[in-house]
Amino acid sequence: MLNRIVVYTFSVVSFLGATVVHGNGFMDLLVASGYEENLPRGYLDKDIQGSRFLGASLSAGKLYQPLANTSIVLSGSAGYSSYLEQHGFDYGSLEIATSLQQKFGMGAYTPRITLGVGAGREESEGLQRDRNLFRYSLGISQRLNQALEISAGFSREISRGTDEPAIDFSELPYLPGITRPVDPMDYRNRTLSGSLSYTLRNGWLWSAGYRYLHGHIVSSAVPPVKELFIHAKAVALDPAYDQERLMYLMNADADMWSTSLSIPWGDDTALDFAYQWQNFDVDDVGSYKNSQFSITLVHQI
Amino acid sequence: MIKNSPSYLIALAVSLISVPGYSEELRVSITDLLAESGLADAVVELQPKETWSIAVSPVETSVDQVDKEFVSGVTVVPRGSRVSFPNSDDILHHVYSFSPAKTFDIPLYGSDENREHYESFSKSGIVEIGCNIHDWMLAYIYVADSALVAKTDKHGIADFRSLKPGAYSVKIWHSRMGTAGFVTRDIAIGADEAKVLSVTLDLEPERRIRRAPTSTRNRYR
Repeated sequence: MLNRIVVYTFSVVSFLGATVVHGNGFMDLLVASGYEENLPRGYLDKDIQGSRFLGASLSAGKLYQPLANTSIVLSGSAGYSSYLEQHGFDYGSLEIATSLQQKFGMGAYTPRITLGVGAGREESEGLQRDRNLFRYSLGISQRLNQALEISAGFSREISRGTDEPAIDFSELPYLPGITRPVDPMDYRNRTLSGSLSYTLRNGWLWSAGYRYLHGHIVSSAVPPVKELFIHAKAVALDPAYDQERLMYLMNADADMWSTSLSIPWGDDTALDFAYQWQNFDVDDVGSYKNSQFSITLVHQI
Repeated sequence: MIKNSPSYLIALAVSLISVPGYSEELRVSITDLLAESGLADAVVELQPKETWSIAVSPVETSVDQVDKEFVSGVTVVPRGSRVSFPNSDDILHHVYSFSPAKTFDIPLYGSDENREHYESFSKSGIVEIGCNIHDWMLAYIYVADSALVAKTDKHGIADFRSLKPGAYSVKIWHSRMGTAGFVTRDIAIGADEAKVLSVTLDLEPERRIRRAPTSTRNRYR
């Protein structure tokens, strides 16, 4: 069903784009490095493991403007991320996306609404984490002056695992009689977000944002963790840890705070320093934290 | 309009140079207090205070779009002139203005389109030009009432030669003042007299919508 929706969406938009109007092309290269404090989303101290990471992605697309204040962006991206201390989490990704933006008037200072749809594929070092992704989002933004811009949005992510598990957990001896679905990468979540960005006189851009997540998250732990197993929506061996851990799909609410400073280098390049802090409240289990620091070089080719 | 705003003008000096044999000339020298150097691309307009006037001759000129910027950033034309907005980029632009002196928009067009399309500027004032796709693109068209108008060079100098002796109002504007302000001063030019009007302006640093990309923003810019 999802695949059909994606195919139909892109067929219609591509037809419009190719036949009705010309487009403005773009291509962006991102190279990122950083550190993530709790990569497996570990709940217990012994499960928390950090890792440095390196990543790169290339995205390209076209903007079409069928009406004066309406624009459509078609884009595709490919990327790869490697975790230096946790290679089991390495993954490559492909994504195609389209967005429709409507401005309520002309110019830079008019409110705008953006509706986005995207579909992607992630191939991980461990097959069990392979998945197909489908995202859609609705955002509104407003530039208040040359320096200040605010935005808010809603998004939904649907993930579908694509590989069968190696073990049937209904046969695990320590919780006889309890069975669970076995693909933790089958999940959904929703987010509400708000952010603001402020450009300093020297061109540096400071941004801050908050995101509230409600839905599923995947937590990895050394077995057995009875309370996780009892409340998990799905369980599987975590291929990122070579049979050492289980990954659990849990219901959670999360508060995610972020701040970043983007330093321009000419018109087409910038170096971004970003910090994210996340607090997950897992239903009936408890809360745990994660943080991430990254440095990203972004260049428009 | 804010006239003679003291926040813009911190020093004004008029020096008289008496050089026999010179025709009536005025040199306006504008200094940027912040940069401590000459202020380029300031507009200086002289308006005779006497009853006589100088015929204004409209012109045809263009403001090009090159590498997602307007070229030039400040264009000076007499009232009644016509301006075209060619697109020398290989992408599309959508030029517009909301300014009271001239409101228009030229919907999305590409290279070699609209080269013969002209907009007429019949009302004096400062017209702010933007692109509806590329938010950082910004340019100004200064529509002058007088034929005696010039932009300062990179040293902050604007020269006026062969002036008719008499009293003039000198109006000075720079894009860092925005569209709502300018500085005016009065000056008298005598027969065979050359004068230098030195002005130091205390302007806020330029603040534009940022063009450079970020990893957190949507990708098309």
